[in-house]
Amino acid sequence: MHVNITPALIELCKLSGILLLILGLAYGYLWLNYKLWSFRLYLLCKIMLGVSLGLTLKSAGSSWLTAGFAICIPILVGCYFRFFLKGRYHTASYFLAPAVMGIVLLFLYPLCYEFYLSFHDLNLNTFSGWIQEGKAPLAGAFGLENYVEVFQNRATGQSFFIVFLRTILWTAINLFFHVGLGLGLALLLNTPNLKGRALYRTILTLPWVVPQVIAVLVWRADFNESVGFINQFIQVTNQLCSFEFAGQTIAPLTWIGFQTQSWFLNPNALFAAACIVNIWLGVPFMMINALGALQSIPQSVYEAAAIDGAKPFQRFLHITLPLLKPVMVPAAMLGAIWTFNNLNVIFLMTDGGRYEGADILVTDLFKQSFTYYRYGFAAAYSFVIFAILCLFTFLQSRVGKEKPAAKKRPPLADGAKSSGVPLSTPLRSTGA
Amino acid sequence: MSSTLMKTSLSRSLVVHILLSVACIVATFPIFRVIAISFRNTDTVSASSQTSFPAPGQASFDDYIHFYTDAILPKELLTALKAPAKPTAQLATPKTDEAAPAAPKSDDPFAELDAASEQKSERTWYSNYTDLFTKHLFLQWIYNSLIISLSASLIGIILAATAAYAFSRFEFPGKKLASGFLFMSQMIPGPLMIIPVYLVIKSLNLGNTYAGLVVAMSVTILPFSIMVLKGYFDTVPKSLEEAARVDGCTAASAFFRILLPLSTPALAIAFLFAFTNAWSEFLLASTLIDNVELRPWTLGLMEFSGSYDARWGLFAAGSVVIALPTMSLFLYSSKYVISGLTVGGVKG
Amino acid sequence: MKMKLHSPYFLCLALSTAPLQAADKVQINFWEQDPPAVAAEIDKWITVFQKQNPQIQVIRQHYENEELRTKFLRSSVTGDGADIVYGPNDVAGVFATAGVIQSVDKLIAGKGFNPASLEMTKIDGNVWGVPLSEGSHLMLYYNKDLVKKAPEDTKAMLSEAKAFTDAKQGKYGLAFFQSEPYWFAAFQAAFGGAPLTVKGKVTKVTIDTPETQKALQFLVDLKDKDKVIPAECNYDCAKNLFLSGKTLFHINGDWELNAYKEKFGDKLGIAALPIVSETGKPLAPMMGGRFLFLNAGTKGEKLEASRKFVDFVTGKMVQLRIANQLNSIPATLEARQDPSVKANALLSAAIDASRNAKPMPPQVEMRSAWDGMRIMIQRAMSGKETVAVAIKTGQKAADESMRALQKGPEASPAKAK
Repeated sequence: MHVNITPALIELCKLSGILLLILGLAYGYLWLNYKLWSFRLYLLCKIMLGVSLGLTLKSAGSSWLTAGFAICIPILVGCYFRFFLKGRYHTASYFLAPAVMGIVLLFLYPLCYEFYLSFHDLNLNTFSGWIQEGKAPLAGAFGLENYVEVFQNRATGQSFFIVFLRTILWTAINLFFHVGLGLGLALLLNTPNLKGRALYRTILTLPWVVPQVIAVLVWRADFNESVGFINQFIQVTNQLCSFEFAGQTIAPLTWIGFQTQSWFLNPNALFAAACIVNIWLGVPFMMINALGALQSIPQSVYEAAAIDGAKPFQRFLHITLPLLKPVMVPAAMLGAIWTFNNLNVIFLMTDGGRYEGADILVTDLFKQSFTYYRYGFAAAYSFVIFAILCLFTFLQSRVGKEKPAAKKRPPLADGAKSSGVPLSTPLRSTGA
Repeated sequence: MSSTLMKTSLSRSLVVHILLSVACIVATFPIFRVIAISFRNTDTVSASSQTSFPAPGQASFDDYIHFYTDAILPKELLTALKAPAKPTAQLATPKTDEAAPAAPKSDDPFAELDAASEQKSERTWYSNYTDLFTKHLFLQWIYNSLIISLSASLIGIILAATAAYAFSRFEFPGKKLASGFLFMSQMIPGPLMIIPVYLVIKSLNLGNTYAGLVVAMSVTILPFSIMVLKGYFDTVPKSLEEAARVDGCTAASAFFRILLPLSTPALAIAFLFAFTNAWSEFLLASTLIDNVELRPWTLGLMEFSGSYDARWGLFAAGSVVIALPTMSLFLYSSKYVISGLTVGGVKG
Repeated sequence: MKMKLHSPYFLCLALSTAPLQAADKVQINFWEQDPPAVAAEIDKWITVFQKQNPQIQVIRQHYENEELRTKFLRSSVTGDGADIVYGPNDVAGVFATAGVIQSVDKLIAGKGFNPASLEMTKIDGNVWGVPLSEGSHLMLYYNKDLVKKAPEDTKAMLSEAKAFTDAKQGKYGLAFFQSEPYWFAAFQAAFGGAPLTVKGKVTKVTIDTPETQKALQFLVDLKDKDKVIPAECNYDCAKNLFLSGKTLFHINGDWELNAYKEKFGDKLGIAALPIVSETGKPLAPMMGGRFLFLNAGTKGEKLEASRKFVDFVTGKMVQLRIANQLNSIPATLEARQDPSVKANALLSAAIDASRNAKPMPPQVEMRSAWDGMRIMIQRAMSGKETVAVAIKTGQKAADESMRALQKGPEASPAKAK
């Protein structure tokens, strides 16, 4: 047992050096632009700079995509300075610059890259040509073949729309139970004068802390039909609860569907099993959020309502729920997005795609493209998923806007703001 | 009136306790399973010793109790605790080994190596845990993860805080577009980014280094952290900084001296999220890191879960060890967070 | 933007790491995907090799099977990646198609390899991998306490298995990874089928055949009619049943040989898979092996060093160690004739069990065949589709994924480099 400590420390020093240099360069660049933006030939210089940068990259063996990106960036920066900033907003740009640089390089560029790829036929045959020479053939006419193929029917009968509907179902079921159980547990935990609350809360948040992969693998082993624990448990518990009456065996639990299954061979059971696992994983997040919000509601509000003669249920409906809403709605939205894009659970539960019938869009994407090294197709499929999610978010923010609860925020800013809320709203009180 | 509200009848609190206990059992059940597996030497997930259950009518109450407890209790640990290990067996093995090296021919270059690896140790209930540290680079992996996730979340939070400040306090052209993009970036399916991010890091000449991974990770956690921090900064009244600005403070020092100290809870939460995210991050690490000495634990643990040579015992032991720091960090900070949550009312 | 970032970085690099670089040693990156016992053995080879060639340093990295593929594919095209990959023969198709490995025709000349081993990585007339060992074939494992003599045919096996099976007690006559096509391939061959047919440059998946149908029916009958296998059993479950003595017969690959040997000692029985009574043909598993693949980008002194390493591990000394330490079948005929190999009972049994095995096709299309067959087995075993329908579905799925694989400008998969 030995640990090499020094290489990491050296690298960290290197890293901080690089970061400082980058920061210096970025600030110098900003400063220069602020100095020069009003200069008459500014835009022309920018264009020339961009083009020469792009051409250098191109001649160094990059693809047109990278070169194009390199051409566009200085020109866009130039336009932004010339037509929008006009020498104002010094402070804001200096504060933003480092983050923007990172995001452009590691979010925006990859996105453009994949968008470009989604129109090209990049697979095992063309892969090395693409990386080394930056050339990839266009996919079909107008490069749309990848997109067409996403919606085509498959031999296995798992067409895009079936998978899509299943994804919706998956998201809805999970969200329902996450929010419902999370809220329920939070309400229980919020019972006044509850003994051992801290202990309960600690234990209940444990599923969130266990690394997801480990938890799912253990669950998967337990769902095995012959040697798994779940079936044995069901069998024994059924036996425990059933009794003989008038010569017949009465098993109340089997009536409510509590029976042994071959969890992996039956697609519905597999889907149910995956849901159970994901629900188990996701409840603590919602519970913590709901609990935070609940605890910030002062007891006096309830007391006032009780004086007015409100029944407990009415108090819940008219006080608790509305006050929970600003926290729970954004949290639920974020949860929905995460669930929608949850690769781990389904992928591991279906044993890496071995068992079929429970795939959601992301796992289907993984199965359809990466096992066959179809990178272009994968990009197209991802963008379809991305577009669907964006559409949903947009619709949600529209619906939210019509209601009085979310006032006066424009849809996009509302979206950006809302996901900050689940954590920050309960915290507000301390800062203010 | 308040007394009726506060008083909860005995039966009601009993129901609450029962419900919560059931929830706790469900929540911890797989965790107990992980712990039980981590003491097993059979390297399978399913419990091998489960015998068939007696038929209805024959099963006694004890059988039921046994069935439920056996599933979650680490049997190897319990038997080891009941009967202490025999020291004789451990003494006997080295002796036979000493005799062995004399025998092989001297022209075999492997003889020396074989002799060194020959010493077989007895498997005990804690073997999985000791193996992690003696036979694998587990400590190195944890150290790597710690360095990577600490520095990534630190850099990420610094960048996020400055950006969030700009978003919260200033108007600038394209702000809506930018914040929309931030939210949208949460929806990008993970596998989409692998190849381009790899190429970017590679072209920065940072492939297969800590630095490359740290840079990539700190940027991936940026959008979420910016949103969290911006949400919080929005609630801190502007008047405080404005007063400072009137006194001749620059925007930068107002940010560092006034806003940041006020935002410690939010920074802590953002850091916690970023850290846990980076701590259990797998996709980026597996893309960017080759060298076995640089691997974080996520890649290391995956070594034990191959499709045909899974060593679940080691895997589970590793995850128990891994979960401990995350858990303690979480428990420590959750106390802190909840205390922040409970103070005050709903004025926000 | 990139250009700007380059220069400061190089400055930094030059300042900080220059004194740390090990001087004039040729480094070879070596990636493998084997279990730890094998990895420990490989480490010994490397130690001895480095002692003999002090100017060469071999760096071993371990990856999981699937990860090794994607990772090597991704990093080799940008000039990183291993110089030597040590893996099964079926990666040859993927790597050769993507053009990331070089043909090893020159390296294998006159080494005395078993000709069948060379066939396993031959695509379009080129050999892409240097064979080290053969194996990965399925065998029949049993516990000598429970079974006196390995059954010759399936009739005998099933009657014994039926007597043992007691589902209520969790006991089954036979256990194997029943939903995995690698296991099914043995049944398919026993009924005269094959997943892939190669005619010249055209490769076809052949699932929708009467032979496959019969084989699949046989498999389904094991579950439904004979009831000797569990309703559902994956790899872990089958292994576990065998280890806990709850199954009479167990079909698994030779890679578990050492693990089972450790557990059962002399009680472990190994035999070739039995003959299917209906057809008189034996259940013929697929035979793979471990091969060394050379990165297409490895040149100059690295290539020279890699060649030396390849020569070392295909030499008699290491080949004998593969046989006697790892209990795998060595790839050179010379090593197989060695008296120490002939005296190794366990290995002899494994070699004997491989007598009916067929070399696994290296073509990349095999992946489509596996996936198609996997879907087929799933559907048939779960009762969702009848056997007749399932083979059609499997064929369609395989064809579809094959189209996806074969798309691109070049019709032929292997690219001459």
